[in-house]
Amino acid sequence: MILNITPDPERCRPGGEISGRVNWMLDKPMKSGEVRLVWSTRGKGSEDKEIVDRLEIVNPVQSGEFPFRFRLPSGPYSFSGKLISLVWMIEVQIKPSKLTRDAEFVMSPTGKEIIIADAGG
Amino acid sequence: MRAADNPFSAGRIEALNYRFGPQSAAEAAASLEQLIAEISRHEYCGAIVGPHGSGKSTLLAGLSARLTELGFQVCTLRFNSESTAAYSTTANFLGRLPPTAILIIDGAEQIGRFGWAFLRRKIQRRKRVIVSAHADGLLPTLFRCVPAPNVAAILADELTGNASKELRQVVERLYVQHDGNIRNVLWSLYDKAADGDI
Repeated sequence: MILNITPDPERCRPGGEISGRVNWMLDKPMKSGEVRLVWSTRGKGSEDKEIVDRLEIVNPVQSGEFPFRFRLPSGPYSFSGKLISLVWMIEVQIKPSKLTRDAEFVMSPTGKEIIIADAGG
Repeated sequence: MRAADNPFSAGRIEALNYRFGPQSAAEAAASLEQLIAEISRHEYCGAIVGPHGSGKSTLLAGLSARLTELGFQVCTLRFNSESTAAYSTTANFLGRLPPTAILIIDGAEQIGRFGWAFLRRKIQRRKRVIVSAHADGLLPTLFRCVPAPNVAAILADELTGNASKELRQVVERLYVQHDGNIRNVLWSLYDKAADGDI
């Protein structure tokens, strides 16, 4: 499965949008599929994840493509520090195999990931 | 190093499957099948026993996933030292789950000695309860998690994709420092990776 997204930095701002398309070629036909707009934390502690929006792949077939477009919310911004990162991604899941692919993108007012400096002494 | 890029981040550690010794992921999957066969001979009732950080929760997660793939209905309860309703939650689930379902209780000691005394008869009648514990005695011991420094090293190699002598030496030192608690060894490796020390 190939996931192509077109993260235009100028448009992946809070309140902007992200678009792209999913291409797939499966061994067996899918029963259903979903494209999701997701943020997730990663790092030393437990991971949090929120599905912000989702689109059902209509007319699921064994081989095909599906265009998507999501409106981005006002936050949270993409950020990274030593202990935690918050990443935004487009996630695609196919059923019944539960095959999942994702592609990360940056959402922030500057178009770049916010870096959290160490608070060391 | 970005937290998301740290090879010892929580998500990557949780994705590791339990190792029954210094074995590859494929060998571990085969060992898990053997353990499941053994557990089925005990009517899916018993305890996974081991010290802190020895992989009990990881093993239970692997069992839960594989038993679900095999078609069983599996319900998992997880308790820790901050859990305040372990007994009532367990009693509630024991009363509601169908007898064919498998109830996994990670952290069964949080139920407490008196709570366990009340629940023991229900569990022994019901069967199909698998628990984790730090010591023998709650239920018949099905498997004992025994930490080993070479297992910690293999996990570190797998997470970093870098089976170096230097990394192994760091892991061995941390294993001694943390008294064999592999979870704490992996957390320390997170800090070292974040600081650029490995």
